[in-house]
Amino acid sequence: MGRKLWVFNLLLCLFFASPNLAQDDWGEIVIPPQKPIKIAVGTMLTGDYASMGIDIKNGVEMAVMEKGSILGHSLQIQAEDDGCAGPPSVAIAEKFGNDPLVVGVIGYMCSGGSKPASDIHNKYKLLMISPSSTAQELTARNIPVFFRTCWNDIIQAKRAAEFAAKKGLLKVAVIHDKSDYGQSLAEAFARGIKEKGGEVTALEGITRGDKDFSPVLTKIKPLKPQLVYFGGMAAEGVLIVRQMKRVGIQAEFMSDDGCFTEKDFIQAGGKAAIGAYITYAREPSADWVKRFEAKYGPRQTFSPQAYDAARVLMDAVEKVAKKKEDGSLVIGKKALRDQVAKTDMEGVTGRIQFDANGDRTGSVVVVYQVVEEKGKAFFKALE
Amino acid sequence: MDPSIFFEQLINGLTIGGVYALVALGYTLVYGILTMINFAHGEVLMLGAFSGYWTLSLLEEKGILWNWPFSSAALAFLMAILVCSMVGACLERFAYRPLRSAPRLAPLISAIGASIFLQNLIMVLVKGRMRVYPDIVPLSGFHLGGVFVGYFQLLLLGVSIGLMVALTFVIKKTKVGIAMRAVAEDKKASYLMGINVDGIIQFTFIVGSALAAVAGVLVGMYYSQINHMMGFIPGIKAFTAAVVGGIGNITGAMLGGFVLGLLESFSVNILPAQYKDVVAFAILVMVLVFRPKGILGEVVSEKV
Amino acid sequence: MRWYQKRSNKKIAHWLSLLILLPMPLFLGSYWTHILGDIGLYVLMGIGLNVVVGLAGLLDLGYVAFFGIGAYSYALLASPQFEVHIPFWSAIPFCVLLASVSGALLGIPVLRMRGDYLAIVTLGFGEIIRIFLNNLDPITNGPRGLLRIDPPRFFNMVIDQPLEWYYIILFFIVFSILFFQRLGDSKIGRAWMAMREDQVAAQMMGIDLLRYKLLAFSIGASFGGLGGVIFAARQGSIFPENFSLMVSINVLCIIILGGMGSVRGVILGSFVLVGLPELLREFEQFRMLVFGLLLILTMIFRPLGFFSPERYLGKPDFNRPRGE
Repeated sequence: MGRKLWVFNLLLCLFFASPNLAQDDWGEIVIPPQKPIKIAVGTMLTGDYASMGIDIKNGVEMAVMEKGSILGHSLQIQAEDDGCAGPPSVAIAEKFGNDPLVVGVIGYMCSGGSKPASDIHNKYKLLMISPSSTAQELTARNIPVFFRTCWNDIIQAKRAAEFAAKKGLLKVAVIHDKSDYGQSLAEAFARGIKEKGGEVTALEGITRGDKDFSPVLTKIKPLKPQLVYFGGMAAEGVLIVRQMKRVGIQAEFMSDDGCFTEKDFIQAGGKAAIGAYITYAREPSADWVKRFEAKYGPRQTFSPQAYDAARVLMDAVEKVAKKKEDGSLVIGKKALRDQVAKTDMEGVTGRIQFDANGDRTGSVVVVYQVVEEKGKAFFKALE
Repeated sequence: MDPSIFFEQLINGLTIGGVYALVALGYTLVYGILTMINFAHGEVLMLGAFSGYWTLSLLEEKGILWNWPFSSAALAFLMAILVCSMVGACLERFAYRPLRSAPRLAPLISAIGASIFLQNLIMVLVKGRMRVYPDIVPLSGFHLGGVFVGYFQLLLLGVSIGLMVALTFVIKKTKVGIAMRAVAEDKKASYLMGINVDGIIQFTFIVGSALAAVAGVLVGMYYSQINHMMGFIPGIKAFTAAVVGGIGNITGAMLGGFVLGLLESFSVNILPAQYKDVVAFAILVMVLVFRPKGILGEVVSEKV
Repeated sequence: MRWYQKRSNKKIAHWLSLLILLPMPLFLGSYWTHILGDIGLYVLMGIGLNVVVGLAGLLDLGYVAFFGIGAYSYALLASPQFEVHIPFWSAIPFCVLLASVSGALLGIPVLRMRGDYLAIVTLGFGEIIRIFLNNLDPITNGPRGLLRIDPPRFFNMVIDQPLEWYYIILFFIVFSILFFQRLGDSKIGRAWMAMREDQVAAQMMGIDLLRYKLLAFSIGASFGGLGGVIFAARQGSIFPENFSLMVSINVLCIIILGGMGSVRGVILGSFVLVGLPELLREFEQFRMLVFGLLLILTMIFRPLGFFSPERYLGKPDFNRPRGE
């Protein structure tokens, strides 16, 4: 219904507006005078991973507030709860798709929500830039409006496998939490290690929410792995790294960005977490972190990616938007998308460019190690 | 199977089982007396864990924790027991007692509501984040034939068995215990004999909750990590344990807890580890279909 | 008899509501029409669970299992997973039948169980189904889910707009309500209600408990399966996490809040359950808190739900000491 309405609106505008306006293949977004340009955010605002979700919102918010306005129209963020799942993500995608002032959505937080939501975005040809959905399928389906400022699972796992092989850790045991994210990473890692000539002694799944992993660790122990790779989140990762030592597995521990949290992994892990290898993106500059934390408190994993995503979107809008005599702003949807695809900017997470599918190009993933220096434990970038 | 692996899984299973057993005791007591599943019991475990955490954090802030670790731990247990007893008593008084004469499904649904309420209450309070216990638990142990046995694991085992023995003693020998058995048998007759039925029921809830509180603090100390959802699955598994052992039967709850823990632990070597939870549910179904009275038989009044 | 209980008035009310419902999407816009679709799905499932819990009195906490079976069976028949593409309308009878058979299979082991045991076991079944869906990767693609599920086609039109789905869901709801009313009024329905009130007495009156329990489970399950098929076709992709215990509890709560055995109650309950949080997105945090509290309070004050067909005539309780 909303779509039919603004197509009518558009025709009306064309009728009265300057004949110089070329019509966009996918339609146009028209921001009437005095109305704000809305940057929508789909992220988890309540529930299990709310802290991560709110962190994403804060990242976008900071970028939007810093920018302030584009071509005389103020910028406003509209954040909705995507519940990290399909049905709520789809619902808010419909909401955004029908909001004539929304130029794009930074979202969604979880791949389980992004996958169905991307179909809705494709329907409305509304831009979707995810800061944290890493499932590989998202860029394998020819959805032109989807981009992401994070890496995808295959890239991260491959990087991890390369690193492990370089360190000579070729006999590995792989554990994952049976989630889309964790399992994809774990399986990609296993494949990567095998390609490098290594041996995967075990590939086991654990259940999220469980606390006692001694049975599965006891099962792995006699296989004498050199490295235990875990695909999953910090809640389970920290328990595994602790219980590993307790059970007596003499191996290194490596995990993904789900474990890249100060509080939940380093602090909770204590001595057991020292020495663990964790992959993540390039850390933003200390200056950015200070600015961010001054406003929002300790940062979580994806605020830098969210910040960059918002900047990519706003930058593209600024380049593509045309101001009309009556003060309204017209943004061609296809033009906007093409502009985003052409992005080449320095973000806080590194240089941002996209490939033909919407994935980020360039070296995006960095390997860190938890080290203790001067009595303080932190993530140290290795390469 | 390698004997050292066997022993290790045995220890693992007994540790997990000990926790299940403690929680199962609470379920079995309440079921014995009210023929009702206290769905919110798992959340009492969670509340115990959090109470202990908050106590320890407070003590840490005041600088007391590391100087007097034992007393601090004892205080943590005490506070958890206090809080959980109150919660248990409130649950009984406000969520279950009004429903004693209501249709069968009502107390069950009320229990589900209480469970949801408690989970989300804590979630709102801690903003969904997990909390970590301070590392005051000695993780040392000794080696027995190549297998590491932690002191704390033994403690857990000891506490479970000890509490069970104490509980059995209370039930069998003390006046209160006899009253509890009487009320479980026949409320009407107990009332007529001058027993304060409501009071006994409250007491039962308090005891069950206290046990769950102890289990909660132990879990917090041993696994370090607590979150608002931590009571849910253990709650269901503990109920399974109670049923497996024979609902209403204290020794049965204990036995069921250990049996379940061991089965889960060993199943990991046979099936892929991700099916661990299925094991618990499958056992539940099979027991209820083939031997609903459980291993040691039920001790409940028959509702005709 | 109150005016809202009179049969003739009820009929008028039904036609009136249909009249209002039909053109609603035109006033509401895509987003709210989509939400109405969500509500409609829950109504469908609520009607199904109402057969099991409301009519037959069997507390099923694993209803999501049938939702999942319906969804996955359709998804496997209409997606790139196995490159099978059976049209929506042809697939529905098969998937619904499959769910119905699963319902009967689930019913068999629990036939003799007491109410509370039944609840836990069905909960266990629901979880078992979800775990299997998550772990049978070669078939279900595990946590990665099944994507690109075929949408239905209506003559030459592909159904992918909230408006179009709204009418499809409405159609199924009307059909289900009629079916449910017929069922409730029939011999089967009466047998169920007798069973619900007192199983022993019902048995003594010659009602074959086994047969009617199985029937309740399988018919109830078929509604769940239908809901699942619609869910899969509408969302376009499904994941095991879509079929968690919360769905079962949500559907149960709809029935509790709305009234066991009452269709009106299910509709009201669905609106409250799905619609309210949409309106109160800022208070999302407290939603579940209020939820839990609401369940307790509803049980205390109206144990059969707000719109229960009969008021519960409490038996004098000798268990309650005098003076309480």
